Amino acid sequence: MKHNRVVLAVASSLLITMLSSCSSSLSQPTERFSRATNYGDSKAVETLTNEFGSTDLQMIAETMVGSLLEDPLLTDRPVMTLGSVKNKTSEYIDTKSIMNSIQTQLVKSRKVKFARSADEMDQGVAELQRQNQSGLYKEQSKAKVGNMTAAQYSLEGEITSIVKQTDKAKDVFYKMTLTVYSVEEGTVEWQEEKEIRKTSKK
Amino acid sequence: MNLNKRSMLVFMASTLLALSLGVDAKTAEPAATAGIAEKLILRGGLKGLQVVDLRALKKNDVLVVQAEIQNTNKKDLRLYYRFRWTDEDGMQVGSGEVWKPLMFLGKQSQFIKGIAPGPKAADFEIEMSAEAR
Repeated sequence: MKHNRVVLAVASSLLITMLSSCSSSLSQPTERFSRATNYGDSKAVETLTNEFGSTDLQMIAETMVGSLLEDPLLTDRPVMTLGSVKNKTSEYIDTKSIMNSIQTQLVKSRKVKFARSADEMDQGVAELQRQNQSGLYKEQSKAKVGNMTAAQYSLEGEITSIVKQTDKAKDVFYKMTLTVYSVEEGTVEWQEEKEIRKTSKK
Repeated sequence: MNLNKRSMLVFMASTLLALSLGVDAKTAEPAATAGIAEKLILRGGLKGLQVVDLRALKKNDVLVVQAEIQNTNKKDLRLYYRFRWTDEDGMQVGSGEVWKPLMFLGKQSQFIKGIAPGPKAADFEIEMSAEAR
């Protein structure tokens, strides 16, 4: 009887030791939703639903910026402007936010200059008129009219999706295409795609 | 069956279970060489994923890094990774990359590529974390 207890004790301790050695207590860099409110990691992988999310936006921006930065197109620090991005998915996606992330990273790289886009021009024109027509400013400190730098290239894109679903599962395939056009020549000077597949059980 | 035999069966079953679950003891090292290991920041083990090749070069004044990762395990694994970029003084360049998920089928090999956020980046590390699919 005593022998049996010893054997069982040895077996149990061996099992516990081996199980504890092979399991990891470290969490993965994914967002968890176990608490009502929490500050999360803005860079973590978000998988709350399979709709377009923050991780998709960040991955798209990183891929596009990386591809542009290694391209010889940016050798002489050209001037670009943001064009339109068509959303051809069935979801609402803030495409301007994607383009803003791309512009931010490109500007911070110091490899590109950006001219005001058509959407941003009104404020620039208003400030120029205020400086030159209000009579409030010293002559030498005024920004001169007619000195804006025009963009050599326009950054334009589109995002599409293919959605397939059954009663039990849903598959969403996103594709973002970004293109750099030469404004003068109308030619495509650079183009990149980023594909993302997300599947979920219902 | 007497108690002695039952105890022996329990012992053998426990040992077999423990051995089948004790994957850490036989998984491959996360890096194939010591030089590669210096560039990795690991959160726990990589459960059988191994960085077998790592190369870096400058393209258009920007540091470009490529790593080849091999799943030495037969089981599917999910890797989370991101690059960390530093300048010549060891200061962080950029505001940090997003974690990127990447699926590996059993025994599959894949490349990951990182491009520095600008010409200031002079060095890099790859932060990695892995889990079962």
